[in-house]
This record gives sequence, structure tokens and C-alpha cells, in this order.
Amino acid sequence: MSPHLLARLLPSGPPTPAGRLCDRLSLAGCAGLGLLVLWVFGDYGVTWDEAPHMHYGDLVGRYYISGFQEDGALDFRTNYYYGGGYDALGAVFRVFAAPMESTRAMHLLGGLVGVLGVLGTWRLARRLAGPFAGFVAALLLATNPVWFGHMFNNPKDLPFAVAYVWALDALIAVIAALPRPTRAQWRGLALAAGAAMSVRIAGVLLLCYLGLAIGLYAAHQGHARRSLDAALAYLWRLGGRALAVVAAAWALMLVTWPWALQDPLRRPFITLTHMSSYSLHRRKMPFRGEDIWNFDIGWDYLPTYFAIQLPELVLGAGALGSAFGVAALLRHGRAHAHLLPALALLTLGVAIWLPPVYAIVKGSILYDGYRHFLFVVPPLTVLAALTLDHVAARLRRPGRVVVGVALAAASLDLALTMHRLHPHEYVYFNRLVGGLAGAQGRYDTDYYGNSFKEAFAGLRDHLWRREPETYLDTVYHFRGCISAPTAARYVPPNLRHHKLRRDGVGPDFHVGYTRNHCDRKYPGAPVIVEVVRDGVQLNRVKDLRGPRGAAQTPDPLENSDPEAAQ
Amino acid sequence: MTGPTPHLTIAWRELRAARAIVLDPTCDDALAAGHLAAAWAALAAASDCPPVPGDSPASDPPRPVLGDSPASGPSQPVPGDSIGPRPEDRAALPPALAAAIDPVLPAILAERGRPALELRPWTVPHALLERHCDALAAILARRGAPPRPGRPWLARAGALAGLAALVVVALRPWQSEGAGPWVGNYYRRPDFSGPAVQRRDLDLRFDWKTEPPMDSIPADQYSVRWDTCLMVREAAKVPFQLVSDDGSRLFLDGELVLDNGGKHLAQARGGAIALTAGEHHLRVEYVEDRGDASVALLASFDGAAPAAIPRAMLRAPEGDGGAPCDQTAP
Repeated sequence: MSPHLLARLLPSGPPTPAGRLCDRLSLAGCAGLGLLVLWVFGDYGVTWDEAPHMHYGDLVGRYYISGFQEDGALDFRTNYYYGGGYDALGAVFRVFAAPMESTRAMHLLGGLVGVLGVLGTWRLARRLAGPFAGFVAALLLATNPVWFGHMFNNPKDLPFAVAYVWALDALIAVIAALPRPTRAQWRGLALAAGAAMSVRIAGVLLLCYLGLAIGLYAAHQGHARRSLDAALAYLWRLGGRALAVVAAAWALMLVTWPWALQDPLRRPFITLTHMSSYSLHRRKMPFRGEDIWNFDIGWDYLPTYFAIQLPELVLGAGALGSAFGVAALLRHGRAHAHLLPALALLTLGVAIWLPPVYAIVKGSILYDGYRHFLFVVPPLTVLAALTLDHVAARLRRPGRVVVGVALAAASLDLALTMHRLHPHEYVYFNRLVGGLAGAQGRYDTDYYGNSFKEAFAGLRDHLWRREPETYLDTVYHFRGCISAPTAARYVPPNLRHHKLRRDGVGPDFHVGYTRNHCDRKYPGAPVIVEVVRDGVQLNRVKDLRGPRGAAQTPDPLENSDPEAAQ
Repeated sequence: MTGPTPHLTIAWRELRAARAIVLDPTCDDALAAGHLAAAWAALAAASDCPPVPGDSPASDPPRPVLGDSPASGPSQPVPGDSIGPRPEDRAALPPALAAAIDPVLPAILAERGRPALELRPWTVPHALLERHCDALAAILARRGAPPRPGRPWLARAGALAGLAALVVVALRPWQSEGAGPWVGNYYRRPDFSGPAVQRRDLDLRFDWKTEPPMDSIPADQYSVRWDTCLMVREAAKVPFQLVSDDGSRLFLDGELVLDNGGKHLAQARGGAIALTAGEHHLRVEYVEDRGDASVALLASFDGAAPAAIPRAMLRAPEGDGGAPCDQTAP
């Protein structure tokens, strides 16, 4: 009989030969993923969030370079509510990467940071349950299409998720070394937590997890010794170090956050309050086939998206792992011998479940699926890997082979799906909803506008193919649910935004994705280009030049004009 | 890397036990003394030479594992009791750790000699005892124990790779100025007269809008002339396209081939141009009048929609003569 879950956690001692093989495979896989990033990073479109975050990064840099004189970072859009950690890093990276075009450089940086996230997930799973769990976690995250798709052009949710998983790893290292983690371990936690908080203030949760772990540890020691003094002594000793971590992480967060720097103790909490009831983006979105307002969603919005946009294996193993974990904590968690594994497992569980449950209970305004909760995906993947590792350990050899084959088959299936969806991997939906085809029209798909790049390339090629002579001597004008500066990054010089047109004539083309039913505008105009994946249309270009197109007016269906929003 | 000797292994075990006591806030620090004394003794037994300066290794008697007499002086272990760090170990320690050895060692040895049922005061401060443990750990680590699973070659390779990356990032050869194949002469006037500011550009695609192209050039009423050499491997008819706001013209080997001149908003002019195999001189002249400013030269060598000319086909011309490119067949 294999030992229970807690007895397998936080293994010590050198890895076995099989473990070393898993480690080599994991590191080789991460290196391969890095090469893949170098190969494909240029394929991705520019998302809604990128331009503001790039500008904010420049403003943060200017704030310091000008000796605090240029203070645009103090009131830039709503970005001043965010720490500029990743944005400032991006600004520095763009300087080094020049003459590479700025968004290309950011996509490269994002891809590499995403690989760092896979590496952090591997470390966390390996620390918790050994090399095989680490390998499985890295494999599951690298083949998660939503994660991979967000790696390149999500400038806030993905970097936060990466910092979050590294901070969790550092936190588990501290827990495993209780009662006296080394200075390097405390330092690592402060750095990682500070990095997470410098991207999103929600990183402060990590400090709460630290407090929870220390509090429970001290309470257990006091209970085991039947001595309140013992509990207080542990609390005093560990609490002092934890406070130093909080102070260091707080300071690190403030470095790239000029707005919070003006009032370092109050403003981060103001942001925390503001962000937990964020209400600036009010929009309608499809959910279960109906258009609903994002401030009028039910409790099931977030669980539904997790259920239909996580790979089935991660979803199933994660759910099973949660059940296993609760059972293990209830049955064995109080045993002194399992104190540290229990604390580690509890921390992982809280890191997965607390943020979404809090958002649901609070009734937070949500949109774009679980994009804002992307940071939950790496620890959830770790829990899934722990579960598979635990299940495999309980089985005999044939059973383990079955687990291995199932894992390989699921990963291969996901890799093929990613290949089909590329470069729109993030519109992945699992089989519970019938894949992307089953989600069409019922759920948000290309909410970030990644498909515009491909649509504009299709339009350019279409025109060159159909009317090369005219193409050489013509400047065309387009309209679309995309800002002019963003579109300018995709289009050739003779394709321009209709707002730049001075002759009073309307646009020649309309380019629209599915969000806000933008693709339904000009319903009678002929469609000349479509971006399609798995039979599902993500973007559509219409020709407005002919009598059918020119006679059209935009459909009154539209409930907002994203062009005006930028 | 060889593993630790049995004596060193014992020393590590005793140190771990001592630390466990020191770290537990509910335990009396004095209880760690026995383990620390045993650790020092095991360390002494593992040593090859005597720790006391001036003692000759040849004349040194066999080292006892545990001395029978407690230390009497704070600075060095008493003669006859070989427990203590070797001079080279002591010298290798950071001052803060080295200073935590001598004040604690006598107390440890005294505690070791204490009868079991006799209570004596323990006066060593807790922080000093922690540093003493750190000092002993540092000395043990210096002797090569405990074995670490890491591979030193991997660490060295990582460090070297990091260093190389640092050098490459610091030098940034991809940003070397003057590397672009387009030699641009920027004039402060719209008629290519007066002194020009010269710079090398990577591509000829600019959208300056209402901004000036560089600090020393005004935002309006200026002109730019770009020159480059285009290498063509096989004769072909190649579509070229000039898009600009305001006027621009393309010259091939001194001959005007595309005229997009005049004052106008963004306007495109293009056409297929026959190119012979060999190197050709390309010149683009651009004049900005007022308002937005943009200019781009595109070409299609592969049948796809026109795009920027691949840099691999271009090189910067040499000299300012009338035929700056080598116009012979490759």
C-alpha cells in the first residue's frame, strides 16, 4: 500500500535515476519551449492592453530619468492603479532589443517570461512531490493552449501569474525549512512576492498566505507542547522575519509604481479596494448563448469558464486533487510528522481556491473568461500533477503505464489542437463544451483581438492577388473595431485607417472580430477575407467599395465603438 | 567530488542536532552544548594537522576525539585539548563568524564537563550561539562536507553562459550605428540644399506624423535623400511601390523610375521595373511640406504583396560619386 498524499510531499534526499531522467526531460522541454517561442513570437497580434502598458512603462522610466519631474505615470489612464514592474522591464527590454519593432520585442519578452512560468511551475511541483510531478506539471502547463496563447501578448495577467507561481515556490521552500528557513529563502520569497505585487496588487495575497502558514505553524507547536508561551515564542521569532519579508516586498513593489510611491502605505490599499470592485469596463458579452452585462453575471460565470477552458486532464486531476487534499488534511494533517507537508498542501490549495471564491462571493465584475485569474492556472496545474503522481504511485506497473500513456495522449492531443489554433491558441475550449465550435456564439472567444493581424494580412494578400495594378497606385482606407495605432502595426503603408481620410469618402473595407458582434456590421457587404479556426470564424473583412457595401451603414447592433475607446 | 569522511559526517550530524535545539524557542540553549562539543571533536579528529599555531605536525601526538580538560582561555583552545578551528579555517571565515568562536567555545567545553544533575548558569547570548553554529557550518563546508548533489560543471557552464549573455547585451552588436544599408542625408530645407545630417537607416519605411525625423531637422519643410545598392541575382521585372505624404521619387541607376512628387496626402505610386542581374543604385528623394509626414519604399521579389526590400539584398554605397554601386553582373 502506497503512503498517503501528505507522506509523499516535500521529499528530501537526492533524486533516483528515474527522477534524474525526469529532471533532464523537464529542463530539455523548457529549453525546447524557449526555442519554440523564438520561432513563433512574431505570429501574434497586438492585444487591447498592450499599447497602454507599453506607454505606461515608458512613463515610469521617464519619471525616474527626469528626476521625478515628468509625472505622466501618476495619472495615465487607469494604469496608475497598477505597479509598473513588468511594464518598466518591457521598456528596458525594448531599448536593448532595438531595432526590433516594439510590439515584436514585447511578444518575445512575454514568450520568454511565459517559459519562466513553466519553469516555476516545474520547480514548485518538484519541490512538493519530486521530479516526476515536476515533469508532469511542466508538460501540462506547456500544453495548456490558453496559457500558451496568453504568453506573448498579455502584459499583465501572464507576468503576474509567472511571478505568483515563483512566489508560491519560494513560500513552499520557506515552509519546508521551518522553523528556520535560510536567509536566502526569505530573500527569495521577498523578491518573488515583491515582483508579483509590482505587477498587480493582488500579489499581496502571497503575504497573507505567509502569515497563515506561520500562524498555523506556531499554533501547532504551541498545541503540541501544550504551551501558549511556545506558540508565542515561535510566532515572535518567525513573525519578525515575515515582517522583514513584507517590508522588502512592499519596497520592491513601490520602486516601479510612482503613484503609490506618493503615499506608500495608503495608496496600495486604495488600489486593492478599487481593483476588487473594478467597474470601469462595462460591456455586454455572450455567456451560455445569451448576451449579458458583465456587472450582472451570476456566480457560475468563473467556474463555467474554468470548466470549459481548462484541458480536461488538468480539470479532472485538479478536482480530484482538491478532494484528495482535503481528505488528507482532515485525516493526517494534524499529525506532527506531517505538519510541514500539510502546511505546504494547504498553502497550495488556498492559493488556488481563495482568489476565485472571493471574487464569486463578492460578486466582482468579470469579463474575458478567466483571463484575470490566469494566475490560478499554474498552481492548479501543480495540484493536477501532484494528483497524477500520487495516483501513479498507488498503482502497480501496468497501471502506471496506463497513466503515462494517458498523459502522453492528452498532451499530444493538446499539442495538435494548439497547432490548429495557432496563433490564436487562447481561444481554446475543451470537449465539455464541444471545443471551439461548441463555444462559438455562446462564449467569448477572441476577446483580445489577436485575430486582426491575420485579417489584415489576408486583406493585403487578397488585394494584391485580385488587383495588383490598382494596389500599387492606391491608398485604401479601412474601418474596424481596432484602434488606428494598433492597426498601423499590421498594415502596409497604402492601407490606412478611415479617420485619416480627408476626402470625405467612407472606408473601403471593414475589419471586425466577434466581440461586441463587430463582425456583424455592414451585414450586406461581401465578405472577402475570414479568419477561421476549427470551422469557427474569428474575424471577417468586408468590402464596402461596391454598391452593396457602400450602401450599407453599420448595424445598430453595436453597443459600443471600440475605435472611440482607444 | 569525494564524500565526507566518517568524522566529518559525525560532525555534521552533531551540528544539525545542536541547531535543532538552538532553533526551538522552547528549548534551553545549554542543551546544544554537548552536540556542539561533539561536532568540534569530530572535526578535530578529521583534521590532519594540529589546530594550535606553532605545534609541529611531526611532533604532534595523536589527537583525542574529546579532550578531558575544559578550555581555560577565551582565545585559543588550551594545549592538550585540540578542539577548535585550524588557523586557516579561522582565517577563511568572515570576521563576524570568526568572532563568534572563541567566546563560545569555553562555555561549550565547560557545559560538556558538567555533572548531569548539576545546574550551572548558561550565559552565552542566543544570537552569538547561532553565529557560532554558522561558523562551525562554514568550517565544515570548507572541508568538503556535506556532499551536494549539484554538478559543478553545470554551475560553471551556467555562469559562463550568463557572463557571455551579459557581454552580448552590454555590447549589443545588433544596435551598432551605421549598420543600416540606406544612407540618408537629411536637409533642413525642402530643396536638398544646405548642410545635411547623415545617418544610416535599416529600412525605408517611416511614419513621422507631425514629428520631425530627428532633433536637428524641423517638423515641416525639409527633405531627405536616401541611397543604397541593390544586389539582384537574376534579371527580373520587379513591382516597386512608393507611398508618401508629401512627395517622393525613386531613381534606379540615376534614372527616374517612379514619380510620386508634389504636395499631397498619403499617396501611392508603383509599377513593375525591369532589373538586370547585378548591383543597382537606388535613390529615394523625399520632400515634406506641412502636416503629416510619411514615406515608404516597397518591392515584391517573390510574387507576394510588396514589402520592405530584404536587408540581405542591400548594402550601403561607398563614396558620393555618381556610380556608388558596382553595376556589374554578379
